[in-house]
Amino acid sequence: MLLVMRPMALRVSMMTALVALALAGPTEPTAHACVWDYETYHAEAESLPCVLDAILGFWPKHTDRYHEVRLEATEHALRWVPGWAEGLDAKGVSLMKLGRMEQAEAVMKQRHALDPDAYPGHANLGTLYTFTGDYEPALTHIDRAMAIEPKAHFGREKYHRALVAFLQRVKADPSVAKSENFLGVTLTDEQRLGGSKEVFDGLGLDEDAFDALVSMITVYGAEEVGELYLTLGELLAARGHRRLAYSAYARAKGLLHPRRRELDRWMQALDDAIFEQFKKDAKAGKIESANDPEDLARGDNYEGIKSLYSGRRRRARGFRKDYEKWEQQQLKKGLPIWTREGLDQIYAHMQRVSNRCASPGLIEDDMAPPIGGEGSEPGEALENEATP
Amino acid sequence: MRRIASVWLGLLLVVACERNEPSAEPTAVGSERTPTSNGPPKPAPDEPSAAEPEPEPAGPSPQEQAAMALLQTVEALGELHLSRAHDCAGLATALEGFHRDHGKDLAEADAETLAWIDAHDEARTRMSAAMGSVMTASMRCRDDAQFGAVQDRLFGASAK
Repeated sequence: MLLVMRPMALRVSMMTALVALALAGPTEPTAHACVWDYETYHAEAESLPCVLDAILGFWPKHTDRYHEVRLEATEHALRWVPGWAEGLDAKGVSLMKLGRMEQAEAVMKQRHALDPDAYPGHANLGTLYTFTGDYEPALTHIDRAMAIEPKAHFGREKYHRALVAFLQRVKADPSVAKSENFLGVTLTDEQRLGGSKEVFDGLGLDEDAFDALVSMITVYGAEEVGELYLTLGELLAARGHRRLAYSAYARAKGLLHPRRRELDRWMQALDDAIFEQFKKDAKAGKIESANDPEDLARGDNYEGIKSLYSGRRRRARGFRKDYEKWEQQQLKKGLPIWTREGLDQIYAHMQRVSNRCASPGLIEDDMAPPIGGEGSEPGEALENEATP
Repeated sequence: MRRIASVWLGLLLVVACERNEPSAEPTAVGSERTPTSNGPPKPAPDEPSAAEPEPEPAGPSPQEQAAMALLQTVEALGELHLSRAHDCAGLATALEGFHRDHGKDLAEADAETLAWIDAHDEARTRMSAAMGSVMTASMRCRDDAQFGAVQDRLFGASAK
């Protein structure tokens, strides 16, 4: 699964082609899908950024330069053996990530023709067609990929499929985006404010959904699809994670999700509930602070989740820039990102600078914020990192 | 609180690194990504076997033989790149000879052979390792005039 950012020129030309824009917002065109190349395992290993970091953007992301270098290296090898399957996979994915869609399609088709029953051919074409808004062929390829390797992407590809099927419905009837979410989670106001494991289970929800959505946002790059954050917010609220749910809704709103008015209402209700809980906890002496307990119980010195969220988003953007700078430096030094050793260095650094939670079971990891609190600070690992 | 979180982070990273380590050991030849099988045929369940000698295992299929031959050539190409990665001019000269002898075999490798390699873990790993050497040396020599000129001669404008 992968969501691809396109260069600005392509962004404009593809604006009208993607129904996904209705979900992601007109200024941030994006697409999403599942891809497979030699790097996928590294990216998809059995831990993921923790939920809060995923929502805020505290996780490292490859630069365009990374894909340009990878493309150049791959082309050197493909000149000798033009039918090298893994090389074609890597080339197709990098072209797609750089927004060169027609070239990517040609390469992926060449790879698919080598072995029409191979998983990567279907997975990558499924991604490409999702990206271009051709949902029918996208679903055909995704279904075939899932039939060939049901356990690929740790069995989470069904969530990608659900998103594509949802987008297909939105394309036929845009009002669907204003009344439903892609996992069909429907919460009452009461459930949204009073979520718990029991409520979550009672709704028939699966905890694997947290891992899947975090993967789609962070590993596959569906970072700017507002629908994912809205749905994640609903899942988190149902599970009782009010603060995380607020942050997920805020991110969906920031991405101009069509349900912005509802999001505002949900966020306000959560903000009020969190404040009330704070005062209650302060009164019961449950909050450690140097401030006067009576002041705390009145809500004095309460920062509020809105300003907390905004501050953290700013820090996340700074984090991203720092990572990009580090990656550019490594590329300049000639780090062989097409080798196992090169990838190991990249991913070791990624792990050093960002929090990771165990997956599957991401939401239950000790690094994940506990219900009622937010655990470790997002991006905390960055502060432990030596200067690159 | 932050100290506790840092300790947890340290522990987690150790665990995560271990968890994230891809399998370093290549799987045995014949381990496949696709359901197709190139192994010897299994006897039918009702086939008598006790008193009969073990049937001779079938040799490698023609496809496997072709794949192994191709792999050997690609590995030789990888070795060549690896051995001269710090001598771009020497690499360029050696590549011309290699291309003359094997270029056509590599460029025209048939789809079935390439698909066979991709479907078998060990073969795919060997192919990747060899191609990794090609990429590493080529990227190292990308700005060398002689290397660039040879690439142009061998592969035309696409080499730019």
